[in-house]
Amino acid sequence: MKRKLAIAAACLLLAGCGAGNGEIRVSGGKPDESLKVEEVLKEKDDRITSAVAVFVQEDLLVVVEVRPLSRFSKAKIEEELTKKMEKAFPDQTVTLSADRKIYWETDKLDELEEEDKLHKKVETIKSLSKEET
Amino acid sequence: MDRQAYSQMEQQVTPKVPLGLNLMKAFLTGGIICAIGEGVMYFYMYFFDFTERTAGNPTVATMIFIAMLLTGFGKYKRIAQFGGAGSAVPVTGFGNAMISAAIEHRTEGYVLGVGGNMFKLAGSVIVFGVFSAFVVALIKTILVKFGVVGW
Repeated sequence: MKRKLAIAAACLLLAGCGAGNGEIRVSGGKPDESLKVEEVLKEKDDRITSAVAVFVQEDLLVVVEVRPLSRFSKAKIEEELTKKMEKAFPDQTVTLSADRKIYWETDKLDELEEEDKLHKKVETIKSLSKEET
Repeated sequence: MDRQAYSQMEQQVTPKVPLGLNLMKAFLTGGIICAIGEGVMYFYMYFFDFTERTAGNPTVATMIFIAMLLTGFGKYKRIAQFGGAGSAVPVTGFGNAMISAAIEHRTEGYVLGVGGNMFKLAGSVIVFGVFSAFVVALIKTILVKFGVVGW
């Protein structure tokens, strides 16, 4: 029993340490745009563990993963970053979220190649992020 | 024997409550229930179109449903005996309070017994929740009307 518990605890510890790869990934944009996104997100790096940004036509979809203790102020971080992103990209419709579901869905977007499908998927994610109840 | 002597004697005779142990048991039980809840939430987020904000509602419903089933099968009282407040404070305690009252008054008939007594304990929770939500919404509406805060 004790041995099983120890193994379980070790597994949990390892899994916990392995989470969060701390990278910022940008896809679909021009090289200078990607750099700009990284710059904006890097300023707040102490609260963000990783981020994914996708440029699709007029839309810019940014999702960030927030550090566990900063999750309490998730709404505030979202608001701050949205303002910054909108300032940096005035021509794009910025959608920013720190929600895990949105993060998963956006992370999957890379696999889609066709522009039409991508756009449709982005619209779905945007409507998901706006849902209140 | 006067009152003081009696209370002194009573304190000597009463077995000491293992407060630290009870606290730890409650913490563990409550924590495990919440961890299961978190797992259910991730299930809804992963397999359905729920976000972190919206996944809370089906999670609460599922947890209450599981607690109701466990109460019906007589398993929840074992958890409650071990965990104490740790099993009563999460939403699962709500389901337990409802079903255990229903089971207790089953012999009095379905309408006056089960129906009338089911919400004996949990009813106050619902009334308090609904009323406080109403008051908070009222305050927020007034504040928004006066332009103090936005929606």
